[in-house]
Amino acid sequence: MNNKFQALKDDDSGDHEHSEDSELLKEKETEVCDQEKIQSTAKRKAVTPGAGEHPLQYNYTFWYSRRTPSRPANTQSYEQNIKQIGTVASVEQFWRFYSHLVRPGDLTGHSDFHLFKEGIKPMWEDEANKNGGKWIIRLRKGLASRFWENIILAMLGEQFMVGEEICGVVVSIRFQEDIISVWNKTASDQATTARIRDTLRRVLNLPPSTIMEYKTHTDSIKDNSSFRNTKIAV
Amino acid sequence: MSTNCHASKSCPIPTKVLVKDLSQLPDLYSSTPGGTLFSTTPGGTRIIYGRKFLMECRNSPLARTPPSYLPQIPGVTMPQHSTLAKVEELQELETETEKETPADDAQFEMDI
Repeated sequence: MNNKFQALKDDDSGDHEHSEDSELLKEKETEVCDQEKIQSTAKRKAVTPGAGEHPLQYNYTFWYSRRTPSRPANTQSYEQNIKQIGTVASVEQFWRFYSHLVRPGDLTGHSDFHLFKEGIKPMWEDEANKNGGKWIIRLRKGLASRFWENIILAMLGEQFMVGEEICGVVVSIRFQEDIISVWNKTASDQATTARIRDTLRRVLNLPPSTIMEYKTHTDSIKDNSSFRNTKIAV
Repeated sequence: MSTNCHASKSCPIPTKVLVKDLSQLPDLYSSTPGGTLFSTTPGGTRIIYGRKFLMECRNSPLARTPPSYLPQIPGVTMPQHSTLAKVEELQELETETEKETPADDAQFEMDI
């Protein structure tokens, strides 16, 4: 299961000499630049549930990203801006990380948390995402922390029931609103996207009038924007 | 979903049945008793957890130890102002406001 996605491994083809170093570096206190080196190479040790822990259907990786809004992002700078926080394989490991992260409502600036299946980068260009899209829900300020928690518990608990289609979820903190997104692999699979939409309504207790928007990643690449020019679906 | 019906290549982790009471099995899979459901769906068996069960796991000792490696990102994994002095200052501010009301109660308790 851990080796299903090759995309992340291929990125490391030029960096074999780092693999042993990163094991040593993990054990010492590291400087920020070393941390980035570790984060950019995939974790060499497979993450598995500990003894007595409850396994998840998939492993998931926490990511964090931030940028100054004045600087428009391109693919390269976006990839450099996203940082892996850790990978979890069990319910207990998830709580360990989650309990040590600031709540999204307390993040400052233009920031995002991403929780994606291990091996899938939270980028439009990733192999798993290139034919996909996402549902987005816009939230007024003050709701992000609660909605984020409910959506990740739903994803980890396999509530979406769409086979392998879910890639990950994102919470985006912005100036006047916050946005929750659910990424799936096949944008054209309407049965899947409909089921994701319905599951979101249920697990987040959305009022029936809530507007939900879908945007394919192809469209996002075209207009270099995550949240503009979406298709509205009530 | 019809286009995605292929045998899953991953090795599903063996699932355990932890249903507390069979009569409680509901139609909605989001509210399973105990939270864990042995379920056969297209694509193989899945490990499903309800929200309530996941929240209960949060209190177990296994879930509380800090992760072995947590990157230090100010404002995300640690306080925004990363110098220790600033953290202590914030802690002092917190304890000052806390002392105002419980102080009287503490004194009464100690007298007993």
